[in-house]
Amino acid sequence: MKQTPTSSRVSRRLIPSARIVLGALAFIAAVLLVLPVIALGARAPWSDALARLFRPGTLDALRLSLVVSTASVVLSLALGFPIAWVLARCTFPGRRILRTLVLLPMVFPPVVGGVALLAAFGSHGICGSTMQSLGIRLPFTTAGAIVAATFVSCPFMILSLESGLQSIDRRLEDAAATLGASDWMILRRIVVRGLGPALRAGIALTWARALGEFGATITFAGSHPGRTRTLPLAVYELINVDVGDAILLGVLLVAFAAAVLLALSGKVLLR
Amino acid sequence: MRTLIPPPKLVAMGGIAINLQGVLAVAGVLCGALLGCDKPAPRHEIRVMAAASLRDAFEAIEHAFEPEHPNTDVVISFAGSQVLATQLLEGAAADVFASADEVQMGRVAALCEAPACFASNHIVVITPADSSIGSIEALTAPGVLVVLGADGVPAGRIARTAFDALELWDSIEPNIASNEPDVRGVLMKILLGEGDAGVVYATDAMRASPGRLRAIEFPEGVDCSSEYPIAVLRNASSSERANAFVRFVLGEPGQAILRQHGFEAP
Repeated sequence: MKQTPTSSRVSRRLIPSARIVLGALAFIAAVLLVLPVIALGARAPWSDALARLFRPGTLDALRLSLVVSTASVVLSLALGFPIAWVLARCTFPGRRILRTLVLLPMVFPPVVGGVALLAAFGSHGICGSTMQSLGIRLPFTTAGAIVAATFVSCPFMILSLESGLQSIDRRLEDAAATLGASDWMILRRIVVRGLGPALRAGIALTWARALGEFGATITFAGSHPGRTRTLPLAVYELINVDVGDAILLGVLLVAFAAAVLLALSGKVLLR
Repeated sequence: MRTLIPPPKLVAMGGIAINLQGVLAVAGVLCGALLGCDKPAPRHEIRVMAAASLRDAFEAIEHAFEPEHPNTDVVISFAGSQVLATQLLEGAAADVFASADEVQMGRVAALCEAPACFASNHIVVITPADSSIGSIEALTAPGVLVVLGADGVPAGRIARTAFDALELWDSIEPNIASNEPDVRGVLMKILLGEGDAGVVYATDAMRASPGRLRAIEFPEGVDCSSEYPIAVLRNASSSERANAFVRFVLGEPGQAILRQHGFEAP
C-alpha cells in the first residue's frame, strides 16, 4: 500500500465486510416483507377458490375498490399537483408548516382520520350545513369513501410530485419562457414530461394506499355492500365469519395490487 | 425491473424528519423512565379475553378479584367476540374466554372446556336524544339512516333476527346505511349524529354519555337477548387459577357487579 489509495481500491477494501452486513440485512428485510405474503398465499383454501371468490359480494367489493382507488388517484393528482407546485416553486413564510400539515394524514391513526373527516364534512361537521343545503351528503356514500381514500393517500402524491418538481432544471422553464412559450405550454411540455418517474411513483403509491385504505373509510363512510364496502372492509368483515374466504380475498387484493404496480413500473402506463 | 420510487429527497422530508427526531427523543426518555421503574414481585397472570361490551363490568370484577387472590394479576383484553374467537383460532394464548354470544363460543368449542352462561344482555334501538323516531316501526320510513353491526357481530345478528320476527326486516333493510365491524362503531355513528338509529346492547346504551341517546326497547316476546358464555381454555397456563376466576364471575360477587352494570341473570 505505497500508493495513495484510489477510489476503487478504497471500495474494494470496504466491500467484503459491507457486503456481508448489507446482504444479511437485506435478507432479514426480505423475510420480513415477503414471507407474510407467501404465508398468506399458503393459507388460502385454493381447492374451492373459484367458488368462494365468485360470489356477488366479492365482485361488488372488487369493483368498488377499483372505482374508489382510481377516483382518489385522479382527485389526488388534480389537488396534489397544485400543492406540490406551490411547495416546490414558491417561497413564503410557513412553507414548511404547510408541508407538514398537508402530509399529516399519512400519520393519522386510522379512526382519527375518519373522525376528523366527520368533524369537517359530516352532517354535523363544520361544512355539514353548507353541504346539506347544496344537497351533498358524504357519510355512507361512495363519494364519502372516495374522499376518505383521497384524504389518506393524497400526501403520497404530494411528496412524490414535490421531489420530482425540485429535480427539474428550472433553467429549461426560464429558457422556454424567453422563447415565448405560454405558462400552460411550459407546464405541459417541460414540467409534466420532466416529472415522468416521480409522477409514476406518485400514482403507484397513492393508488396502493387508497386500495388498502380501511380505517378512515369505515369511520367516515361506513360499510355497505356495493356502496362503501371496499375490499379491505369486506376482508375485515369476513375474517370473523369465514377465515378462508377472508384470506382468499386478501390474496386477490394483493395480487391485483402487484399486477398494477408492476404495470406502472414496467412503463405500460404513462409513456 | 425499474425502480418505482425516485431516490428520496431529504429536503422534501425536512419538516417530517425534525418531527421524527423529536418523537424518537421523547420515546427514548419514556423507555428510560419505564426501565427505571421498580418491578413488583413476579405474579401469576390470568389472561382473560372478554367481549367489548363487558369492559366496565369485567374491569370492576378484576378489581374485586385481585385483592382476594394475592400474587394474581388478571390481564383482560377486550374486543368484539368475533375478533377474539378468530384470534383464539389463530393460536392466541389465553386462559379464559368470555363471549357475547354462543355462536362465537361455538367457533372455539374445540379449544375450550365446557362453557357456562354467566349473564344475559338484550339489544335496544338507539337514536340521538333529539330524534323524532319514537318507535321501531318508524325505522321503516324512507330515508331513515339505520346503522347495525355486521352479520358476524352478535348484536347485528340478533338485531336482524328481531326485526325479522317483527316482520319489519324487509322494509328496514333498504334503510341500512352501514354494517359496522363492532358495536362501538354503531354507537359512534349515532353519537356523532351521522346515523338516525342503531342497534346496540342495553348495557352499551346505558353506559354511553347519558342524555345524548334515547333507547327504544323491543316488544315483549321478541327474542332479542344474548347469553354470555364463559369458558376456560384447554391450554390455560393454570387451569386452577383460570377456574378460580370463572367461579368468581359465576358466583355472588361477580354476579352482583354484572347486575350493577346492567347485565341480567343468565
